[in-house]
This record gives sequence, C-alpha cells and structure tokens, in this order.
Amino acid sequence: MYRGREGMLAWAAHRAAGVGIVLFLVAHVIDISLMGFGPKSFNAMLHLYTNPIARLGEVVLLAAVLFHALNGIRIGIIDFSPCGVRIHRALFYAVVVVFLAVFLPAAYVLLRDIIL
Amino acid sequence: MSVRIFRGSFELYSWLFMRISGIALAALVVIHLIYLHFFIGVEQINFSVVASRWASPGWKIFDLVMLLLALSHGGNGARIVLEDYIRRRVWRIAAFAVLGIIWAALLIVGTHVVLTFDPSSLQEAGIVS
Repeated sequence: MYRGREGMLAWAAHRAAGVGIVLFLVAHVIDISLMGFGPKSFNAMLHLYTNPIARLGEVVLLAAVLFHALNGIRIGIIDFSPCGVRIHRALFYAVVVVFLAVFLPAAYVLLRDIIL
Repeated sequence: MSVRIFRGSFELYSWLFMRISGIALAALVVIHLIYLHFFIGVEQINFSVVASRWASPGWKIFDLVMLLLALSHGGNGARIVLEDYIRRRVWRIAAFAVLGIIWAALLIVGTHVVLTFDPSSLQEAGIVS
C-alpha cells in the first residue's frame, strides 16, 4: 500500500514545501534586487521582515527548506542506491527524526528573543 | 489523456538535473541560512551587511550560483506541479508561458543586481565601511 502511507506523506510534504519555497524565492529575488536602489529602500524593505509575523514566517521557511532538503536526500538514496526502494519507509522515519532534531533547537534560537 | 509537451529524453535530464542541483542546493542553502539567519540574524541584516558581502568576489559567485540553481530547480519543480494539475493543452501552454515570463524576469533581475553591484563607490561615499 502506498496511498496514505509514508511514501505518499513524504511526497505531499515535499511538494507543499517546494511550492512554498519557490513562492518565497520569487519574493526574495525581488526584495534583494532593491540592493540596486540604495540603502534607504533596501533597509525599509528589510524592516518588514522584522515584524513578529515575518519572524514566524522565517521559522516556517526554515521548516520547509530543512524538510525539502532532507527528503530530497532520501529521494536521491531511493533512486541511486540498490537497496533504497526497500528501505524507503525507514528512510522516511530517519528524515523525520533528523528534521525534528535540527528544527526544534533551531526554531528556539530564531524565536527566543520574541517569545521570551 | 494528458497532453505531452516535453518529448524525448527531456524528462530523463529533468530527473537527473533535479537530483544534482538538489544536492548542491541543500549544501548552499544550508550555508546561506546558517550564516545570515543564525550568525548574523534577521534583525541585524542591513544594506551595508549585504554590500560588504558582495565586496568579496567569492560571496558574489556563491550567491550567483545559488540563485541560478534555485531558479532552475524551483522553475522546473513548478513546471512539474503545473503539469500534474493542468491537463488541457491550451491551459498547459498558457501556464508554461506565464511561468516562463516570471522565470525569465527573475533571472534577469536577480543576476543583474548581483553582477552590477559596485561596493567601491559606496565605500568612497562612506555608506559602507
């Protein structure tokens, strides 16, 4: 069974994270292009990223990037290693464990000055 | 029946490209995030921080390579997602056209700002140390 199990969950999360990252990439290329218009406009734009909602968005972005990168490595192992397909479920749980081990402390570091 | 617009071995190269660029991006983006969001932090980033980074050719190349890989990987990913949900040929062509225009605009805007940025004039004006 694939439907609703680890493989499909990983695929859906990979896609959702990918779409989120690519939408942020559009915004990010445009905001960095303000570097070409001098310090005033660039710093005014950066100020928008310091409000609490944007800071929460930063943590969501970190989660998306981290999961997409780890699951991308899982996909690479499934595609290129001879035993990859057989252990794809175990690899999914490895992705979840590494994700939580990195994300939770990292999210704390990013948010500690606004929650404490 | 879905309509195939990309033919031949395109999907094979697409598949291979996503794996190779993905591995490279995992490393580049993680370095980018650790450096700018953890060592510096969003509250501390400003014009002169970015300007002094772009004063070094190494970071300019880093950012340029990351930009090109991210746009290609993300653009191809968006293409695959659109292909999964848009089945009719006319809508598919329209969606690819819109994606292509946005993609080209981002490529031009993004590479232009990195390549034309000249920190020496700002150092003379005292904006950047």
